[in-house]
Amino acid sequence: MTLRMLTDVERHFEEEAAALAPYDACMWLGRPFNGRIAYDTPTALRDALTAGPIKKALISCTASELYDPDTGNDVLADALAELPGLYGVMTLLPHDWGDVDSLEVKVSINVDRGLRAVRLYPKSHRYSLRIPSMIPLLSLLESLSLPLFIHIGQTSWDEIGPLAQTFPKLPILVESAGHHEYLNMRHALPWLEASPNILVPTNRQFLCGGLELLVERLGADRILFSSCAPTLDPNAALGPLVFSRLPRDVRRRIAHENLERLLADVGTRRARP
Amino acid sequence: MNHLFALDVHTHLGAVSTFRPRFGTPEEMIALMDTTHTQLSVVIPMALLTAQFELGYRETVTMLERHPDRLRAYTVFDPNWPDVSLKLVARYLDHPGFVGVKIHPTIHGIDPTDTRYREFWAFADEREAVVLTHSWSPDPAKPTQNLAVPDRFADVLQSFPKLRLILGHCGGRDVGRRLAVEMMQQYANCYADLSGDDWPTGELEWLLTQTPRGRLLYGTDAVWIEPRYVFGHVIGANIPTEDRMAILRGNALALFGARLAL
Repeated sequence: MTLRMLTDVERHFEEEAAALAPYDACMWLGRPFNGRIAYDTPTALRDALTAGPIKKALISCTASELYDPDTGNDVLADALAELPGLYGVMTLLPHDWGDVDSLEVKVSINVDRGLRAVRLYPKSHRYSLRIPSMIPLLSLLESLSLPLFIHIGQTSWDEIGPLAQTFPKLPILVESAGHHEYLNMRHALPWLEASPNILVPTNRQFLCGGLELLVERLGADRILFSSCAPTLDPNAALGPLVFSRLPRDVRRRIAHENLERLLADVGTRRARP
Repeated sequence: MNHLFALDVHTHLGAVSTFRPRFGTPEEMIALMDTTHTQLSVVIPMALLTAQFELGYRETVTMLERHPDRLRAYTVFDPNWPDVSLKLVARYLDHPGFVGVKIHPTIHGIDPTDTRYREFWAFADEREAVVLTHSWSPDPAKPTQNLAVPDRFADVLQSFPKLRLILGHCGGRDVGRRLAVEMMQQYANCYADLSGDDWPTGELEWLLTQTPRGRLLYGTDAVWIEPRYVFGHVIGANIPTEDRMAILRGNALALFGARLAL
């Protein structure tokens, strides 16, 4: 009897995940810092998408954080050439460019190569979001509608919150909201509520009932499904979405519609003439 | 679909000073259990973990009496209060609904081999008790986690072979998980639960190949950590349905036996 129950649940999980058609905001190309599985080639990544429950993803590159941002951007752009239909996330630094024009050129080239969002790693790459050169960098991203991904462990709510208010049209996707502070949303929620342009990817959002809490407090349009695969298991990432009692249309917005909308405008505008 | 079959051996109820659990009442937790097809959860009462013994037992007994079909509980041994704590553990372990003992070397700040644990280990061995401990990886940013690294329990597992020790969170992170696997390989009285927030792709498949049959238990850390996260990891794992069912139910039934009163 119980085995029959379990096979029903297995089938439900598979069917519901497929029905939600998840578009993952965070999947990784390259070898992560540790672990047993890496999508270290375009083929490995394609195979994972073919075999796994997630068929479409926005790709980030581990080399961009761990080794060198520009090299990682090149590796990712080369991989995307073999992965039609997928976009990537470029990594930028504030201090390795001489003037705003050269940054604009670099960003434009990357956008043309399919890198349609940006990651910053202030902690890993040894700078702060408070340095003066962040202003022109974030202005540029805002002017191009380029979404910015940043892990809260790389910055802080008191740093990211005021920046979000200074650049109200810049979509800022803050990863690990609530988890890095060990489930404590007391610091995150006031900034999230005060800044409609801060969006929340679901990877490492482990607070029990966090999905429902965020939908209730921020609305479903600001929540985006993401898995952080293969560092973290995509099936585990899908669990809260598949087994949530939120309405199907709300879950579909989180699963893929919000990311599709976010990326739709990228690349259609150019930086300042 | 109203199938209830999973047995969750690692959950929390009660207030927490550092954050507010979203589904913090027994009734909210039970509604959440329905979404993960969980028939029964074993609860760690937060008041007992934070030295509020009288309040904690009062709250827990009330909770167990209200929900005898869905909830069980651990007593808690607190080595900062070894005498009073052990007396209460001994009293309540025979109370209906209490199925084992929880220890937390990291929160309590005391090494499990410290003399303040000595009487407790002998008691647990004599009673053939199920003991759930927090376990984690070594963490330079949080040195108290070193008190709960799985191999810290090697001497206990060796010296007290009749007690059954569950390594909560299966060591927490990569290094801790490898040490948890070593402990399960070496000691027949060592188990691990899957509660936690860090499950890499393919990890359960790997654990199954590394551990003796029957040692992995379903746990979620609800209502702190999102239980549907761990549930998704188990349900989506590329393992036979029979192994999945053993993790979700059968292994806990075998370990706790009649104490679960199912």
